[in-house]
Amino acid sequence: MKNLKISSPINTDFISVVTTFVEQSSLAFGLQKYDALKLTLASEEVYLYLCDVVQGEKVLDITCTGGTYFVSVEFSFDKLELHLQAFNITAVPMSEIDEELKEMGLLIAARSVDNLSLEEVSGERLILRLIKEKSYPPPEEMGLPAVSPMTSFSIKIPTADEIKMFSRLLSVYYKDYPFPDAFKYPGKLVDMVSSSIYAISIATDDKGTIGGGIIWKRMNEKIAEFFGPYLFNQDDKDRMAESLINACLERLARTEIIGIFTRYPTEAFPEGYFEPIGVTRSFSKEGSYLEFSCYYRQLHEDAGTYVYVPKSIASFIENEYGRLVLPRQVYLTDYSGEYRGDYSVFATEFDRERNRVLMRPLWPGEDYLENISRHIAIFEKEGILNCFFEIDLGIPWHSSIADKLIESRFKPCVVIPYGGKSDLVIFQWEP
Amino acid sequence: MRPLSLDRLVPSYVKSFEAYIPSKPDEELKRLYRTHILHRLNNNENPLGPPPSAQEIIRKFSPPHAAIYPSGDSYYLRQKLAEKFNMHPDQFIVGNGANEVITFVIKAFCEKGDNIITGDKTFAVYEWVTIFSGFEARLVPLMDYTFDDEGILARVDKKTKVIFICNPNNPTGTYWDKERMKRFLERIDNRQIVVVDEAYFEFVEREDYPDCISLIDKYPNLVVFRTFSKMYGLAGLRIGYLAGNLDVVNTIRKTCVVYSVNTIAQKAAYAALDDHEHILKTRKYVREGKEFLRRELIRMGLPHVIGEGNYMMIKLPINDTLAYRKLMALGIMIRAMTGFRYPNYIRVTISELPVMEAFVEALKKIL
Repeated sequence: MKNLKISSPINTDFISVVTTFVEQSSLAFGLQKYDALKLTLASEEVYLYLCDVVQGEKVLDITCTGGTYFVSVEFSFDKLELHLQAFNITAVPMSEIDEELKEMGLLIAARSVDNLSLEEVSGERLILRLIKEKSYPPPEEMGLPAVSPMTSFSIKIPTADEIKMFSRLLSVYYKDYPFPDAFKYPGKLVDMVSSSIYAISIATDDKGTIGGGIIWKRMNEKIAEFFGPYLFNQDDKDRMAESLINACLERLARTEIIGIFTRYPTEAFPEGYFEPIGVTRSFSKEGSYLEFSCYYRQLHEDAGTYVYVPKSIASFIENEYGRLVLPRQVYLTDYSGEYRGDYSVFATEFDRERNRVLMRPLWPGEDYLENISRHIAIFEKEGILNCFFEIDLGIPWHSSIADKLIESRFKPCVVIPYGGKSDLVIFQWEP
Repeated sequence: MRPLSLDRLVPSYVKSFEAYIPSKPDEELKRLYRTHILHRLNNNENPLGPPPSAQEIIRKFSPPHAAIYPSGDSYYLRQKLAEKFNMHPDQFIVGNGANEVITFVIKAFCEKGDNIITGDKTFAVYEWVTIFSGFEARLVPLMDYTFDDEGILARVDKKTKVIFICNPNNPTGTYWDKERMKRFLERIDNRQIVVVDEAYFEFVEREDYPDCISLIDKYPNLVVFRTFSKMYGLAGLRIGYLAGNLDVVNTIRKTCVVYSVNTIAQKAAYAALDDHEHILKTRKYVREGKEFLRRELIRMGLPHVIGEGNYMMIKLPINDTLAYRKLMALGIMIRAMTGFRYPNYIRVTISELPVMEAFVEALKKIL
């Protein structure tokens, strides 16, 4: 990856410097004109927003990075210099009082890019990151080789051409199945694999025909998410599916990944390898929903850990720990009126492809309830119905938000062991 | 003061390496898993403990002697090993467990750009030490649970410095016989150092199993590891050794940390070497335990891999890390094998019959 960096005073006088930097860098890193303009627009919104919320003469580091399949822009600044509540996606520029102009700032920036995220680094700095992915052509209409049921096969790491073929087969055999959009674009999948975003193993016969495959990616530093196993016209589903799962697990064993999970298991998924860790719902605008069971397994022996569990979800958590035989030292916690700051801040991750948003608490505050409501209202307005909130049972203050989540129609639905500092609990909002 | 910039200080191969986190102490695990008993069937320890003569040494150790440094190079123990194997004492290096001598060998022979070769499903420490030292570990898939000699030879190049063969292999218990071992050494033709890890040597009763220390004269590139942790029951004192050609061992010695082996370990190991009775007793319960388990597993319809050594692998119809937790809750600690790249397998240390019976009962309960 290549990157370019500038440092700029946070002052509207420099807006053209920033936008020119982002636009020219994006073009140089291979974004098409239209995509480069979208990223520039989002960067402009973010910069103007920062000018509005940051007080005094401060300097901002802006880094533009060119990856194989994306360009990102990072705004990096010292956390102590900011009104942190301004970094809720729902926040509006302080100077704006006109209702019509309230829809500005981070939200509009989020609409123009594929990903907007806020990250805290070493407890001192914040990084606001925008990612715009390159546009790839859809797969060309071309005949696919006939895939016959295989009596023997071997598992291998695919070449670029095999990845493209795998992508095409996936679009044919799993046309109506939920999987990331990137899988539908052969060139993008190749680039994402070469960038180590995804890893793939495939099953081929001695002629090189692809009978199936499995894809996985890191969800965070410790957890990987996998997709599949996908089988193309195979009779002996169990054998190939198990071999693909084994290949995935063997490649992840002895790495820093300690758990692997899936939320969209296929029909060939071997349940004996995994444990069910909860169910999420995918709501449609018409009001119906589909349920997806999440499955997980650890890659390591569980030596136990401690968790801070809010009383309001204690029975749910204890039930899950009992069912999954997870050795945990549970400390029940309860909010006892202690001061926790005026304004809470949530990090928000949009997944527009799946009409989904995930929130995480960044800072505690007395306004949890109002802040949750503001976020939900914005998401509803954006047409996003699948809202999730994640708390880490290894971080004591996270538990203080659980009551307010429940009050706001969130329900705990999934526990991911060691998904964060300790176990993660995912709450889902009921529209 | 400026903040510490670990990002700048730490080499990339260390950054990307995940530290091995050992098990918590038994008492902690018992508390977390809410069990009053814990049978340790995870580390291939010897339930008989050290031989009686070694136990006597440990009992008689005078506490004031703890203030005195041990022999820095395990002088007397090396004399004893030399006598036992009819070699020169300087052909041995004693380390703080076999793990330490693995590090010595890699440090002695590898430099930037070099690689080692070993199996993909074997004792992990060869691979780990190589990677966090900044070298390449080439992993050759096992064939039928056995080290693949042809596969290894195909991966050798000019940058290959060391080949690690675990014989018998942990965890599969398979081994290369005398002929295969010699054939391999002939084909390597002194171009690389070949390390044969014989941690489970004393458990093997097969006629065709090679005693690689006896091959060192003929193959100067051969380095053999042995340990006092398994058969001799001294795992808690951490002591193991390597043997090899005098010039090779003198080279390895340059990278050794001296004084790393404590006095009690040296003396207990010295005493243990004479106790053949202990080996016979241990082999007897291992034979009985394996036979018992084999019968029970066949009854339960569970695929298993039994080879040499005091352990065996069992394929489960459930996730091995879940099986680990469920068995822990019943007071049985086994090794989940995903970390060895055998998902859904567990490795069980063979222990005495009552413990094996308890294991089988627990296994029936969780499946």
